[in-house]
Amino acid sequence: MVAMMALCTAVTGQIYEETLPNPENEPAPVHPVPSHRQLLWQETEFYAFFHFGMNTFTNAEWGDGSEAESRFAPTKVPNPRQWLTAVKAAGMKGGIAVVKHHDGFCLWPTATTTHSIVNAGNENGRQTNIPKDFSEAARDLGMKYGFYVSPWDLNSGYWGDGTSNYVNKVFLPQCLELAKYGSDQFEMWFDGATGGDHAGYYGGNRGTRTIADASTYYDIPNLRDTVHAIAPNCVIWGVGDEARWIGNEAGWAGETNWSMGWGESGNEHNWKWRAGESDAKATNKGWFWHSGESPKSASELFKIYLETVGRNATLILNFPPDQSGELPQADVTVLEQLGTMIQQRLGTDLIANATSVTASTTREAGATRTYDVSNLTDGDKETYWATNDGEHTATINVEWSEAQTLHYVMLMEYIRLGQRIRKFSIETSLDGSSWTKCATTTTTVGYKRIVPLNNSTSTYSGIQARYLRITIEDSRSCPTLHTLSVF
Amino acid sequence: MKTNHRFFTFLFSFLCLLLPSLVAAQHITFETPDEYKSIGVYDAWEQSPFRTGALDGSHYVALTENPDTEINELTGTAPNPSATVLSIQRSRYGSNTFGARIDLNEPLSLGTAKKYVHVLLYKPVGEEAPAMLIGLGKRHDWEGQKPETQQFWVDASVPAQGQWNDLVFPITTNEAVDIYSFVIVPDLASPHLRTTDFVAYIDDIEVNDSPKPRFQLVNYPLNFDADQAPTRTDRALTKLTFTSTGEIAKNVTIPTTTVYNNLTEKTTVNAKAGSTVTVKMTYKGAWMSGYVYVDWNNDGQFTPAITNHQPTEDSELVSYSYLGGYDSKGVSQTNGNSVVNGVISCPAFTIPEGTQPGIYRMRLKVDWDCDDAGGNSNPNNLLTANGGAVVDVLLNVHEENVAISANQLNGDVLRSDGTALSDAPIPFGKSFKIKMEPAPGFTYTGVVITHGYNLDGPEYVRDNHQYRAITIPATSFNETTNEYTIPAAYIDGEVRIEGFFTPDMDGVRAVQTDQSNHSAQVAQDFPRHFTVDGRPISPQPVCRGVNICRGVYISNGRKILVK
Repeated sequence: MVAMMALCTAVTGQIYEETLPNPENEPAPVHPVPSHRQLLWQETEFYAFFHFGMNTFTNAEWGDGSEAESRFAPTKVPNPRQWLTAVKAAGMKGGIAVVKHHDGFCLWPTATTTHSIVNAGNENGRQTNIPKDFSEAARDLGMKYGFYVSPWDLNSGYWGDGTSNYVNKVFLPQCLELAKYGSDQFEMWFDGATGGDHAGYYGGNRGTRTIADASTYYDIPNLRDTVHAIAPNCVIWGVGDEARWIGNEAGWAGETNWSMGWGESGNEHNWKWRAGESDAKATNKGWFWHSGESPKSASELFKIYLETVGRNATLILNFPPDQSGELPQADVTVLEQLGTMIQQRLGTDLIANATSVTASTTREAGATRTYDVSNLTDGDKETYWATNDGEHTATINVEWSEAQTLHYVMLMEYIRLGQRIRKFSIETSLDGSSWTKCATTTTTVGYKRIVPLNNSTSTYSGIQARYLRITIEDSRSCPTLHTLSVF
Repeated sequence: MKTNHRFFTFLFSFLCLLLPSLVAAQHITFETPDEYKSIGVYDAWEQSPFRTGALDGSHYVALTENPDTEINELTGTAPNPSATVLSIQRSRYGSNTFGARIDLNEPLSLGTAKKYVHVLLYKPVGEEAPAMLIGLGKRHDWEGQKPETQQFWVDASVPAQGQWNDLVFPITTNEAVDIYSFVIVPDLASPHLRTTDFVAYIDDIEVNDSPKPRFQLVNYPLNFDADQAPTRTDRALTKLTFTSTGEIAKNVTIPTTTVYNNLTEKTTVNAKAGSTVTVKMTYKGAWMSGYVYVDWNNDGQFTPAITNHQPTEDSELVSYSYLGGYDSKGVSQTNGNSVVNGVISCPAFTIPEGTQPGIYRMRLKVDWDCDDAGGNSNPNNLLTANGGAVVDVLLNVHEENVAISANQLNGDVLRSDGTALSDAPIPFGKSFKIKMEPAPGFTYTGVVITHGYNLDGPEYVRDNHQYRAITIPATSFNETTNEYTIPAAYIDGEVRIEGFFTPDMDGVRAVQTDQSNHSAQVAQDFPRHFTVDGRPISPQPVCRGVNICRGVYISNGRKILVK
């Protein structure tokens, strides 16, 4: 990692000549590049958010920490297996469960506070252990899992009291307790809310409190280090700086979306890999369950899917369990419908029927690997097509033996070597000579880009084409793509 | 400060003399090897060849002779007279975070205070990228933690090339953290297009309490004191008039109490690339001429380049009415008396096509036959003696439309038609209406509008204000439509809006008190007293649903709007 030396001297300006062998002729990485855990996290793509806790029983979105523990009284023992089974039907690969919201009520038997399910209002509540039941169910179902734990704690008298007691006695121990529920966690979600004008209980002191800087107050660098030591593939979201909030809660990312920088579009020039995660509500009321709520339609959710997963972001879609500790049947039904819709619309790759897939240029092969265009369609994410160094533009042509009804084009960059493509275009043709350009903004690709050929994420209609042409018009370096799919 | 020259001047501070012993212990000059534990290279990239062992980092750092000990001829001092410095060969195989690692003799404990790490950095000409400081350390109360945990990353603006810079990195940590190593990243950029390495130099690392550079370049120097009063009453610049294609003419009244006026905080001239700009100077007096400068490369100085009596394409002296017998159109002038009917008319100049949208410093000068932006320093024709004047303003080179976006939790900030702000750019310089849409259970308290350029970077570049952040409280919004019209003046570059939403409190829309029994957080379900101005609303402890009449109240000096 580091080469250390005690003392040496050199001639001013002298360059030590050294060349790194590259027998495979691999393209140089374009930095920043994602870490291994960030790559694994990005591959999760679509997962659920489950807001369940004290607020479920007080009809609130933000409690203030004064809620009596007895208010937490589910009518059944909460059933995370039912939650995960339902979202798996929609094609989700995992979920994040809220185990402590801003009100500080802990959904596991913690040693750090009495404000937990240990003192719940009924036996169902006292039998609740969301981290345990959620992680076990996820493993059984072959899904990824993680926890949301609010750093802000309106119940604790220590929070924001001017000392480090909260962090040392409450927050860090809680995170360590949670990390121990599974070394295979994929994400820990730290909400950025930090006080301000929202009054809280604060151990009976009541009032408003603020902290100056969340990163140093919560000691995020060392929290991140410790969580990684226990759960090496667990991305720390938000203040953890390994994945970024996409900048809205409406379920969309920018059509231009770099995995560096901040907000809906990111920033090509930012130095740190920080891919976007879009958090969105699948129901029409709050993040927590509220009486009378209903889910959005499968079509609305599919639109969100296209505008997040299809725009180089991950989607964490919220389905709140109700007071029985289960997802309402209406949510379960719409999840099944969504899964069917995704499968119908994005489940059959027409590239498999293409008579030819060609590229205007292909990188010279290495000793044991090639960068042929066939790598785009081999289903292997570790093989990829690339151009030679210095070639930042290229064209990929797809041809079928007869006209097809095309709806979507999906591209995936080989982001292990960095996000590169700045601009591309998609054209279709029936005769190979007269081309129609897709008008959708086609700037960045990133981990995954799904382009609707009818230029609409809201409507589903195909276009007839026998030929498809993708032109990479600008790239930070030689472009690298590992998958091309057409639906 | 009087400089009498047009070059950069170094301002030295001697804060190190006042610093406590702790700070003195964290001063590394590289003159003797006992000042640090060891030196090496570091790369934050997991797959770096310097981590895998494919490359040996010991060849990439060394102690070398100082490449630049040149004494500034006017100050009589060298920015860095040190004999020995640390060299770091920026490997093209390292990542954008590849840098020199310096292990400290003793761990540095910051406590809860913010400290500043000063680093002298010298980069060759042609290497334009920011620098970064990475801190490696651990918590002193955690057994077994490695001291290589990354504790902070702090980047600095692009250092000037080919000379020593004093970079300042503000650092904070949790109070339980000790810093064991600094990593100085000289080139925070991806090296993927590099074909060769280059060498950068590091020296004089010091940790102290001063956010100011130990020396710094003076931007846009003057050849007289900045607060110099006029020496003549018969001559004065009183007004500037700017006209440019497609823009409203701008008239700026010039104060006459000082020779130099820095109006960059309140005067910005707008123009598009390719457009023509004309400057007229209303001047009382005669036998003086007008000069217009633009710092196109934002390097803190105005560099004239005149060929065949006309400015070259990259000249930063863009217009003049008289210089060596010609004006900037190359037209011969019989003399330098450019004042006609009380006005000096500078020939029109064009904003070059392809000029990047952004903020540029523009200087207007009344002087006698002189291309020096700092003012004529010839003892026989001093600008100050001749009744000249210098005025600095900002030039906003903009496009037809600007990007607008929003960031917020628990609600949306939308266009008035309900669509997303970032759906499409909006016209530059036109007012624009936004609408707040809180999520269920939330209300809004206002927005912060950040507008301008370089929004992810420093607010000032070369002392030029890049962007501003304006807080708009909820009371400024239309209470019925939840709409607010952003003034045209704010649509002057990229526009980012951060909306603030808070849980709805049973009709109490915006509340802030500092005593719990005056709190209006009545949405919660525990009993409490609620008072306004000390007068109980209810004689008994109340719970949610307390009936407060609509209106505006003042409680503990704060406004409460009950809708």
